[in-house]
Amino acid sequence: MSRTVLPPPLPTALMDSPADIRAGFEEAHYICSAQVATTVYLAYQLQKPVLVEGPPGVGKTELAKTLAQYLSLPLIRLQCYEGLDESKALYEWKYGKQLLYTQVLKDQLGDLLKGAHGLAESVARLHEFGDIFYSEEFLEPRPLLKAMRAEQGALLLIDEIDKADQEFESLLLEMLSDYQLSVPEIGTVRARHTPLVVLTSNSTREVSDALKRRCLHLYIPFPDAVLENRIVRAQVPEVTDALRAQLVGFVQALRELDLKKPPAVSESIDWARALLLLHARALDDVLVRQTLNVLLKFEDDIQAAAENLPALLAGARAAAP
Amino acid sequence: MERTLTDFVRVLRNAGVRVSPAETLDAASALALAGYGDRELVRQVLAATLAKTIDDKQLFDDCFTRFFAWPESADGAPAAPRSEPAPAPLAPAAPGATPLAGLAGTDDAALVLAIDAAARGAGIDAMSSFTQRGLYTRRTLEALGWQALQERILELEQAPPGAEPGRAAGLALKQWSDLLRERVREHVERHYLLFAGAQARELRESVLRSARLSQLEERDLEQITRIVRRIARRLAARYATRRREHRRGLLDVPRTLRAGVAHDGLLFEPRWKSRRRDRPALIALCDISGSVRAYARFLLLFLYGLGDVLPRVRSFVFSSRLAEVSELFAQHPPEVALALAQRLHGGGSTDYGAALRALLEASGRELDGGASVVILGDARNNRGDPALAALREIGRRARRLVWLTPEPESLWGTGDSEMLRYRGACSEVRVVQSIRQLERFADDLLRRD
Repeated sequence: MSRTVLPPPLPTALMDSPADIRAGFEEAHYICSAQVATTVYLAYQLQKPVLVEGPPGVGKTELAKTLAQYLSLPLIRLQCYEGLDESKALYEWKYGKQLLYTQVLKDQLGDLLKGAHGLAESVARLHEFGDIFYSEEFLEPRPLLKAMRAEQGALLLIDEIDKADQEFESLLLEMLSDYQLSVPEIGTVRARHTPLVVLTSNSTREVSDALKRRCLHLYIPFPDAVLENRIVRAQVPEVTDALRAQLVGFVQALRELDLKKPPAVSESIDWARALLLLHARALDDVLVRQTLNVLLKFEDDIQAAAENLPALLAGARAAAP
Repeated sequence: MERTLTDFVRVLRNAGVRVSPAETLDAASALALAGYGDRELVRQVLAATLAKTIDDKQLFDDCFTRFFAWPESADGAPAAPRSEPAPAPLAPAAPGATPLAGLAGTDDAALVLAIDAAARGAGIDAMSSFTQRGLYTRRTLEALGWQALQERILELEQAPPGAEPGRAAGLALKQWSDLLRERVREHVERHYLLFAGAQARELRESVLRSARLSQLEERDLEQITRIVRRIARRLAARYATRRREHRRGLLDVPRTLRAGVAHDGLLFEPRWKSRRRDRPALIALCDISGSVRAYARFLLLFLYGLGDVLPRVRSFVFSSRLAEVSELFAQHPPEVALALAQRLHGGGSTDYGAALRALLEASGRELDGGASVVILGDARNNRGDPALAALREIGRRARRLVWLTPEPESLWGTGDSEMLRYRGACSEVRVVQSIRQLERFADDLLRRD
């Protein structure tokens, strides 16, 4: 398999080892596991796209944003949805501009063709000017093309790929393996600098094997207590150690319950902020009941949690030193 | 190291992880980049490049732990040859007589490599059953020069007292040779578990697939369930692409106007009203009386495993009375739902007539909406009223009526079987006795939709 070797985007930060990345991310308040750092390192060094899967709210999109910030690359985001197609993702012709120009240039054309004898000669004269109306000036780049043409390289985030149709995945294949796109009227557009590509998926649908083969794969699960504690500390540093340990313990225990939608990391962070606003020092029954709706988004889930509250609270207090 | 990587990929494939050659190459270049020094780093690198679904990650972790277990246990094992003085004098006594002579004093890694090479030389890749492990252990030892080692031990033990190297050296060498045999046996067993074990499993799976479902034993159920789920997933993936089929309809004026805004109000891109074809419901009716219970179990497992491509399945079970179990399946995983359905609605003598009439009543709307109906049962009605009219009515209104029966054609119509009479009302009657036949049925069902 021959792959075009393109210069990687200028390294503005240390990408020499997974440990560097982990430390650098930490400074940007993004706490991640070693697996995440290793995968990002490989993606950068091998110039391969990464497919990130995991339950909602574990920081998949955040990872891409942090990486873009870390490398000082522009973030180009493509949010996927059902019915997303070429004209929204790749490029589109500026129809309006094309029409306008043909109108404006009508007189010019008249002048140009003056004196031409017969249709054949007129057409021959027009041909001398090439395909003016299907040139770069009339091309409206959409996220994918934009990422390919970025001067300094870019980070392309293709968010929630599982929401797009399967046909759209096939559209991505050329770009992901060779970093090039075919625009029939113009030809093949090659990336100036290999863009870093991050795809995310919530696994509502299995992503096709062909796509997976071209990507590195990263699964981000819910973090364990230690990691989550560090994440909350990085995001909401004002919360006291004791309260943080309690709230993380509580959330971890909550995930063990059979819930429709277990609380994600983003929700623990929200909860920490809420508790901070309420000047809470420790978790207690009333406080938790009043703020449970920050963590859980289904009435059934809230009820299930409320029923188990004493046990959960006891567990949370035990988790805190 | 390349050899190790390809071996590991083989292990992964045996375990059911799909790894393409391109991914193996990726893994190789990633490893070259990250180095082999840190075991945890190697694990992360391989996980990112080789295992690409959540299930695969789990399998990957298991395989990794098993496959790379050897070097670790080797470090932890008592390093007899290094600490004992005995092997050292061996070399001058029998220079180059045996490959082992050179190894006795060397470090553990070299020994592991030597065992690996010897095992390959002994044709260990051809090992296919667990009972052969004694044979391959012996062959590997022979390839290592076991004979010469034993002779040397004997020689040392019979040395006259005071001779140098003497009996003590012989004893130490004997201990080392016992250790060696242990190591070789472990190596062979591990090799079997990693490689040949999967072959045996494949064989077993293929047997299970064509075995009659009613003959299966309790201990096979788990494995069969897994097979069914895997097949269902594969079928679902195969037909998922064709899920969205639009039929172009009339011009959609508002949307065309809106699209025109981008082009200075020119109606440049016509938009059409599209009618999304709703996939018609599938109605499954399963006899769960004793004789066909096992079949109902797997049919339902199949249908619900196809969830992505068969979005609307209404399922009914009956033995003496009809009951709808769609809710159960919506709330619980298929295995649990099955057990519950069994407990709630099983028992009593089979009454096809009543079940058919009740089904007609319960699902009239879907039937007119073009639903397909699948009935699973042996049509043994205990000589009750067969309600043939009800079945004809269902057959007439449903898009398709398929009857699945576990009984071969020769038994239809014998005893209390109503199959011959029911047959005329169905679009198709199929004999389904094994997972393989069930798979073929599901395949057809999806293809025609």
